Amino acid sequence: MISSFFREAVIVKLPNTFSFATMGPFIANAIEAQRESKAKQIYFDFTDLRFVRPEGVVVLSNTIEYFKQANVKVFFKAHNLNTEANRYLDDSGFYTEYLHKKVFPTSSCRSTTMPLQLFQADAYVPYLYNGLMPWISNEVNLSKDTLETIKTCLEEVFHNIEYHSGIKTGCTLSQHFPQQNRICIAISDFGIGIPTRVRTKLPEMTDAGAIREACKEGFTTKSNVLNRGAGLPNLIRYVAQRNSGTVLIHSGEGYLSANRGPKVPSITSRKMSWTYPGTIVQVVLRTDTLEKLESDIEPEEFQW
Amino acid sequence: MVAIRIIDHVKQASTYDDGQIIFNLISDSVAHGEPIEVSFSGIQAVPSAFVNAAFLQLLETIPFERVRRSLKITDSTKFINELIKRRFDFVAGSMK
Repeated sequence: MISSFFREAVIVKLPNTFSFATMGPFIANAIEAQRESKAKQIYFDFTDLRFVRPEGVVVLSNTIEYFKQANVKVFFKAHNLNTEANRYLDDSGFYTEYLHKKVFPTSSCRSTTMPLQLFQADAYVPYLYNGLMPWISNEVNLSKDTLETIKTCLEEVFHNIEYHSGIKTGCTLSQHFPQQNRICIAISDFGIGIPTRVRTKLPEMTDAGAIREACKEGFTTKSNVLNRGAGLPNLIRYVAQRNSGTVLIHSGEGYLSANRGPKVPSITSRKMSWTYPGTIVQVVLRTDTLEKLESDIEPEEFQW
Repeated sequence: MVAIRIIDHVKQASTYDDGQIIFNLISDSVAHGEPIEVSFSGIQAVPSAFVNAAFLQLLETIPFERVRRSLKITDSTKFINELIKRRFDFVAGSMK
């Protein structure tokens, strides 16, 4: 739902539920409306919003950053309605990030949420090492050592932004769902996107095909002189096969999901009806299989 | 034999830059076929960027057989070993 007034501002309504299924039309509407009107102000209207998924917070944040880069000011409307969605956004640090204050006096970060964090791609280490990993360790009651392999998998995502996105900022939020035994880690950037990067080498590739290609061992665009195309395959192989978790990647019009397969990860990719300007990677960890990962860090003699 | 402990040279074994520091320390010895030991003491896992820069880069100028004969990896873990071997298998294989 879009409306505009005086061509100076555009209002874009958030849907009732802001999730992967609904974020597409929202982003497309917001970007298209602003582009067509050339408005320098855009209002996000939270009137109808009742539920927001963790990845939705990340997408909202990145959309704001996208408009900031385009010198478009973003304002909020009806964000102070006392709804579950607005309370979650407040608890997750979203409003503090953009309004520099909480909306609700009783808001505080939930123990099951690692709040919204904007980061510099080349300075992710303190966040990952001293923030996210200790939080996961505490949530699942496992030592940081046990989770070392998961840490390196997440580094593959941060490296992907640092080395390939063409942009130096991103944002992330993580949510623990104890009853489902899942931790969802959403990491996103509004960089050039995987398909654009892949097409520097394979110009005819579709967006969905490009993401699939980027997840193959050895595919590289050589965007970094030392890049040898192993980061995303490593991430997917380990999370899917060892943790039985899921990796979801959305970039441009392409979408890829990876789950555990019989011997190698089961990967599906498809074309979406809308474009994500940049890349969002969701790593969904199974918390009830994390403990067995401890065997992967046991000492072992190296033999060629 | 020259021995290098990674944590004596980098704050963390994570990025291409971290790997490049190790590469710079070992590449001459490996190029000359001299034995060199690289210890992962205190490190349980590393991402691919580190392995690519520290070790895979050797294959750009040095034959795999010479790397294999010179480079000894010690104090490593199952995760680190699998990553190094898989990367070498893939890159050395694709260079044949």
